[in-house]
Amino acid sequence: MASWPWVAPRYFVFLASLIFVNVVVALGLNLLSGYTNQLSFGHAGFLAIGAYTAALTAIHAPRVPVVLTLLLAGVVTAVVGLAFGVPCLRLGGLYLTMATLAFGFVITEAILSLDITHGADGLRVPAVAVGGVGTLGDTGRYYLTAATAAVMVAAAVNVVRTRTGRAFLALRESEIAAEASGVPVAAYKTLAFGVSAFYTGVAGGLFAFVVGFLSPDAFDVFLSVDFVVMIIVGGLGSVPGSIVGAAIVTVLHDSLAAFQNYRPLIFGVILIACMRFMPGGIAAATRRISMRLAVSLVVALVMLSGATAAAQQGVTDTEIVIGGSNSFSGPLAYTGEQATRYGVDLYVKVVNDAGGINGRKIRTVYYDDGYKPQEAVANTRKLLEQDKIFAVIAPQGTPPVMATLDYLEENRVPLLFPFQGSPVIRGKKYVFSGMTLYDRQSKMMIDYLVGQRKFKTFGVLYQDDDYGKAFLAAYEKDLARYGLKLGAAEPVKRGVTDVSAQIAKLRAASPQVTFLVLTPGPGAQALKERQKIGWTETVMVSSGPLTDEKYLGLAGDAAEGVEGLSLWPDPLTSDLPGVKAYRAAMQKYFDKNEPNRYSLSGYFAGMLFAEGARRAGRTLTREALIGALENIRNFDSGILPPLSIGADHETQKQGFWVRVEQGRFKALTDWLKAD
Amino acid sequence: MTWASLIHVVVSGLATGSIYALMALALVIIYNATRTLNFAQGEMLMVSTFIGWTAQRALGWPLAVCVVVAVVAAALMGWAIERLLIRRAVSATHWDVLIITLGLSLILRSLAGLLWTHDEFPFPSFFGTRPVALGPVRVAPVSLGIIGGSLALMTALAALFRWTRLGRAMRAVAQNQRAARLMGISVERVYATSWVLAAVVGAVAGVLVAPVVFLSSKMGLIVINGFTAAVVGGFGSMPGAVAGGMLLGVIENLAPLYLPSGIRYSVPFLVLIAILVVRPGGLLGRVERRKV
Repeated sequence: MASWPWVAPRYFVFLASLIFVNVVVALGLNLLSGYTNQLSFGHAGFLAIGAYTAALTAIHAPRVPVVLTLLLAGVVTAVVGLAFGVPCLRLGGLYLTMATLAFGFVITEAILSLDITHGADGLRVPAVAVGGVGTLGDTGRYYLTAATAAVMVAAAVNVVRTRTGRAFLALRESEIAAEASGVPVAAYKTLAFGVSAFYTGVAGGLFAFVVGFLSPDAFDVFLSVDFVVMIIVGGLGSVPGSIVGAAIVTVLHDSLAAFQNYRPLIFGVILIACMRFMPGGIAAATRRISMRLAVSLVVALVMLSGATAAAQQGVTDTEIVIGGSNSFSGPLAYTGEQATRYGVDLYVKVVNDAGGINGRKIRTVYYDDGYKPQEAVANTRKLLEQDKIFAVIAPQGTPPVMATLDYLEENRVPLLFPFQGSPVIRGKKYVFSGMTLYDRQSKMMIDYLVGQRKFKTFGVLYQDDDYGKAFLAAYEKDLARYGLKLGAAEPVKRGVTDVSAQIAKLRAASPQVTFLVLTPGPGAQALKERQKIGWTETVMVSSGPLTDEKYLGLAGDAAEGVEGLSLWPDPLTSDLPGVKAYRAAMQKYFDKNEPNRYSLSGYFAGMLFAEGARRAGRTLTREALIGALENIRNFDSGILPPLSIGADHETQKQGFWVRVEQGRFKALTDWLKAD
Repeated sequence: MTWASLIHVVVSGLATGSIYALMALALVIIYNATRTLNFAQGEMLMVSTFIGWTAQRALGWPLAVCVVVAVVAAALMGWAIERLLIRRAVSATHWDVLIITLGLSLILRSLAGLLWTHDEFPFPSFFGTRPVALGPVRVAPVSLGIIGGSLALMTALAALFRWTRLGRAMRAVAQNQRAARLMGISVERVYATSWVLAAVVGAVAGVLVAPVVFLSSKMGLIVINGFTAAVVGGFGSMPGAVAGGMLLGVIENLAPLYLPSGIRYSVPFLVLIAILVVRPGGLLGRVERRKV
């Protein structure tokens, strides 16, 4: 087993590392739930504490040996866990579960709002340094996680066999009986909680190094649910069960990513089937499961998935394979599906039906990441190492894209037209931006509003994440150029139900212009809220990503008179030849799907890729594609104004001003540019 | 900040709080019968609202009829889920049902995405958003409508539990299942009724809130606020669920007014943890603390 990282495909080395991380979490959770009967839905929070502790140690004290860093991650998590757990432990089963659920939310909120964690922007984790001579690669990380998991398994086996372990088991069977037999119940419950947090903290440290990028989105309640599923599938109160459960759930998650929007469905069915037909988990189903069986099963699972091997480089005589990790579940599922399956793929169908590119047809592969950075990393590695894709196209969201950036640069794989506008992707050799970057949008907006419209006071209602904060920073900078300041800035949490307080506060500051940097739902809610309180003396202005027909439709008559920066022509009514061709193609291939800006932008991304690949010629290599894209001059898409891409790799730098009149966007300016 | 706008924010918070209260009530009804959490409550709300909306969009039925469609669909769904998935698992540990409902919530959300896409849709309302003057204060009819609709449903529930034979049976099962069974109460029927009732309460909450937060596969996430409300009020107590929901709605709205952006969104959860530590039984719940 110790030698297989050199023979196994790289991706499986990575997947095996993830399995070992999850084995440590599952052990920790099982010590708490399986042995002392206290279910936790907050272990993603513990994992986050460990991960951030390790990452921050690695950043600020790079000389600390990795073993100490992991230990520190475990200890910090145990301390936080106990501080939180001790008062909660006197709560009965269900109440403790609720408290752990709340704990998970508090931790993600804390990560979002602290400076040291870089909030929603996420934190890049440096590679593990080894004694000042070098850093750990995939194989090194694999050994690190494997060794740590082995130590933790050994420790768990020993704990379970001792007096403490028997005390834990006694607690599970009956607290009253245990107490009557002289087991100090409270002390052992506390101990179990602390040990469980320690295990999960150590796993968090490993997680940080294996994934390489942390953001609060990674640690949501569904991750906690996955952990619970691991121990339930594996078997409560069983060490081999924890190992098997962690392996199965990790591999399952990984292989289900290919099913895109069917993934949660299949996962849910498996969950229910397990509960109905195998309530004691695998450990109970195969009565005397031995340690050896557990270990060999882990290996077998990992090796088995190695069966599918793909072609080289992503380009054959007849085919070009491109793909990406995207949201098919989670908060941005709609945008993700539209941009890829109905956007990029729509253009791919058009091109393939017209004979392909230089004799090759394009094939696309997408995996679901549910907006989680760690899954985006896993998916991107699988795309590259298993599916051998040629280039990544149109992935979505800043945290998932950021998490894969270093890896793609390292492997010299083009990352084309991500559906996000945060300027953090600027200046990368293998990255070409998609939508007009947020700072350029801000510059156009402020130049127009201050320079031409002579507005003086501004407020902003922004989504409390990377998207909102990138705009906030850009607005402040651009207003400063005119000696102006933002009068008020109110954050809105993603998925919030009510924005009345934020609107009331903005109104109290009485800005002439109120920027909305939101997604369609909350954006429309803000407009309705304004209508509710009859606040008419401000101009509401939507950011580029918000200016779309969906937001108008949701807001109804509350949208009348609203202005905004539009990045695309109206996909439903524009007479531009490119938009008409897009609508015709949509009618032909997906007649049930309404045209919208997300699919239009994906369609455009497909078109731009095809143009680059065509210009690169018959010997299509990644370097040739990049050269060809860099040399595009005055390319007429029929959708956007003639487009030139230079060495800065920014494909779009334009937008135009619109105002809502009778439920549609009406252009107030020609294309504006921010160069 | 003027008084008028403060009152508006509080009323808006009460409207949101009513929805949380309904969610909490639905959870408590099921908890009292089967001693378990229903993680799929939010998704059941979402699916029944989508069904009502489809009746309106595809068949052009009037809104009132569509509300009935949503409620009937919810009742059927609640009954089917209890019959097919929950009943056989009830005797095992309290987690089994919890995990089954978790799986169910994944399935329902995924199915909704496949049937109706993960897009957001406007939902018609009986009430407008343009403000009306109530004395010196201007409030939106939609907020009042949500509060009024919720209060009406809560009153009906209270009457059901207090004065009907069925309600008495449900209270008896909540108190002591074995004793209730010995008294000749069909506990299975109480299980089924509880699921149907909870689903119906959820459907009404869904129809009330959909015009505000819009209809989408994500709207089920509101169940998390329902959990928080139920625990704050005291899990198991129906007046507690209502109080917890209202309190949470108002706190959530006042926090952005007075607190820095860093911690405002943690406030509901901090309140929850504080309540659990100081008064684990919740505001109005029985203190169910076992000595350890």
